[in-house]
Amino acid sequence: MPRIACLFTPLFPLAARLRSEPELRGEAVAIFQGNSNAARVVAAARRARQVGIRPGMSLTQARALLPNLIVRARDMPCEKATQETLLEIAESFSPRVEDVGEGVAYLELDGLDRHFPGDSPEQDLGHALTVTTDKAGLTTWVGIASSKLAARVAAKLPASPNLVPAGEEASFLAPLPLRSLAAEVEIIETLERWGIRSVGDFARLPKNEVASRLGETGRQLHEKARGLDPRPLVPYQPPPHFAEGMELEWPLVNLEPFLFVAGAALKRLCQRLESRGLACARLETSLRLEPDGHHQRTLQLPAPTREAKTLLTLIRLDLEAESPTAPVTGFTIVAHPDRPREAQLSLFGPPALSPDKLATTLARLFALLGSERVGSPRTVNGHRPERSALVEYAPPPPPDVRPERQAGRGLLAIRTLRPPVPLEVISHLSCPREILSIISEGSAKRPRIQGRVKVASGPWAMEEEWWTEKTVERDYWDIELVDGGIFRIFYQRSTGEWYADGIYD
Amino acid sequence: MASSQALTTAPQRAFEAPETTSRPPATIGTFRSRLPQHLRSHLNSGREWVQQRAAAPLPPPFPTATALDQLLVGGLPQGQLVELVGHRSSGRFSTILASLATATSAGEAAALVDLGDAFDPQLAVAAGVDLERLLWARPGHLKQTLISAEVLIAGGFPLVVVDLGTPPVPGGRGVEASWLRLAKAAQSHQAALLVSSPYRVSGTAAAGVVKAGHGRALWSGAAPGPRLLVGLSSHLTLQKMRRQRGNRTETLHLQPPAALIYGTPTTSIEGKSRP
Repeated sequence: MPRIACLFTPLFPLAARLRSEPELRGEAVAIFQGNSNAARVVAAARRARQVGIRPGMSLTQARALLPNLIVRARDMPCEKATQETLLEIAESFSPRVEDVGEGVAYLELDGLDRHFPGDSPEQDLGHALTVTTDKAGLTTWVGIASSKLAARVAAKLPASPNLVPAGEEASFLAPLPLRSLAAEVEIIETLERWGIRSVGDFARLPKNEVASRLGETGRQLHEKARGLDPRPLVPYQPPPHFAEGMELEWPLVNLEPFLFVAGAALKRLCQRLESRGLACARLETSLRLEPDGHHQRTLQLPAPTREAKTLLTLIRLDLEAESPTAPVTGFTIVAHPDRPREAQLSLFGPPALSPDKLATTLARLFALLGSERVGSPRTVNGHRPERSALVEYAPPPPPDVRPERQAGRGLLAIRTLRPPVPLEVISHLSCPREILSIISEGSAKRPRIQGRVKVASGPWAMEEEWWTEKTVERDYWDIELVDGGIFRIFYQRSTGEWYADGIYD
Repeated sequence: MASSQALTTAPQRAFEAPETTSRPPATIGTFRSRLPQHLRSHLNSGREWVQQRAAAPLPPPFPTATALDQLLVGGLPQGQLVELVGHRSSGRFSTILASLATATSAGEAAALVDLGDAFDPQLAVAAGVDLERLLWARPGHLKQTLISAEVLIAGGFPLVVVDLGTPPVPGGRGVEASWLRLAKAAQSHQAALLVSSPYRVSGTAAAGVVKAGHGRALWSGAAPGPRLLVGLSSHLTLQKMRRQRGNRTETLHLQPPAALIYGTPTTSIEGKSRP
């Protein structure tokens, strides 16, 4: 029989809420479900329980016992994220994990004792599980046994972790009431009519007789009562993305308070991504609006990142550009994971950019300037000087040995004017003599070019795509003005207009 | 006897100035001497701290393979902001292109924040820039330029070049506090930061200021006949540099790219033939 560990989160609705609102720890908090008069307490913190607040009480009764009681509605997105976190922690220990829901997960422990070579590997493993869940903001109890039922019962006992030695499951379960086998099965009532009250009484019945009288269900219950659980764990299929969300107590109108709660959710999301060695490649933000609207935004990141601050900045910039049309009542943030970029450090060559930092930098620049204004430049075939292309910035790894720096070539560079500045040109025998930039709407932000021409060199013909309808025919001149400044201007033959498209600088 | 003297002198001393003011002020050496041996080296006066910083070895400069290297003694200092100021056709853009070429050809990553959108990839390749290692950001305003530069410095780029283009610069000179913040970012990340602008913008934030003088075009041929631009000559003057002597000048000689865009020169507009 394989050894099975059960992770049990007591007061799961409360634990999920406290994970998203850690500032409520230690307060008198109660979680309720239902509306108005039908609202019932489902979980209460220790300080609330000390004054007598119990699950099942109405909200009015609870407030009568403790007027300062902090109440929160049951938050399903929060509980779902908490359950996923619990399963991710279990998966970080064992590849065979079963999702039971409501803060409970099973994991198979076969082979894990090699990672805990102490005197009591299962005890060490149980402690490791408890510490890991504590770090994730969850209080979890651990039970280890050879059957799911025994492990779960052991997990619910105080002083975690609780171990049930192999083969002693039947004696461990024997004192339990019969209802702990299965809560809502008619067979239990039948057995109670027979005078059987405990699991031990039921386990002592002959196996074949139970099967012949109570059928297949009875036989399975009898095996469970004897501490046998032949069913394997139902494999848990992790979702392809990571989600964190929250139902807000009241609708939010301003961006800042929303960013405050979203920042905490993003931090949890990034912790989960980091624990799996992943980063966020695409971020989806889904806002629930009052009364029943939705606002969906998707951010495609230039490179995977798991820096919560960067993601929050991106969400802020995105929501500032596209604000929701109604107050926000809840949100879900979904991170689509990808492997982060990795780099090998060099001993002798120039240092490489940190992939994480680069991803963050690119994401911030994309949010600030737009994806079409950031990247790695590329040359483009053609003759027009203003041509350029931009591709994703992914620098190759630096050379292993730092190469010799090349001496400067002393190249006279041309400062390209995009778009070209329209000119009024006075020419003599087709040679420019005086130029003046044309003042028009929007030209205040363009360079002013004017003056008498001291030297003109040209024309230098340029023709591109003469075989298409987009023919570009220009005659270029290099000119130096009397007042200083060397420019590259051209005459556009198709329109008969003059432009300046570069400054020798 | 001694006790009676003390009794008689006590009222007189009560009307004198407090004893602490007459005592010479305690020096840093006095405080240090009272500390345990292992703590003495941790107590420094402000003057000593400044002297220690001044005496600390500087990280190696970032060579640019231009006349800047002679002016700045080896190249752009890491962790400092150097401002290159110059009018049109002063060789300013050629200098920053050369510094980008030197960095990227050596395997370093570099970033250009190009406010004027003036960068020409074809020309950059001719100048020796490795485009794969160059990040080109094209902001539309000075405020975006400053933020982009700060983000790039924080991202670990060892060389960040900011070009503000030609006047009018969108956003004007900006606030000096922003430039100080940028210089502080460069210092904390040990990045070389070169700001190229048509006029002084960074104020006291700049550790070094180099002014590019008016360029002089060099033409081949005589006046009535055809002319050809064969070069540009300019001067770079070091106006300010921390720990260095200013007012030094170096000559900048630049040659235009050979047949980069032009084909065969024609004598007249109508005289051109199709390829």
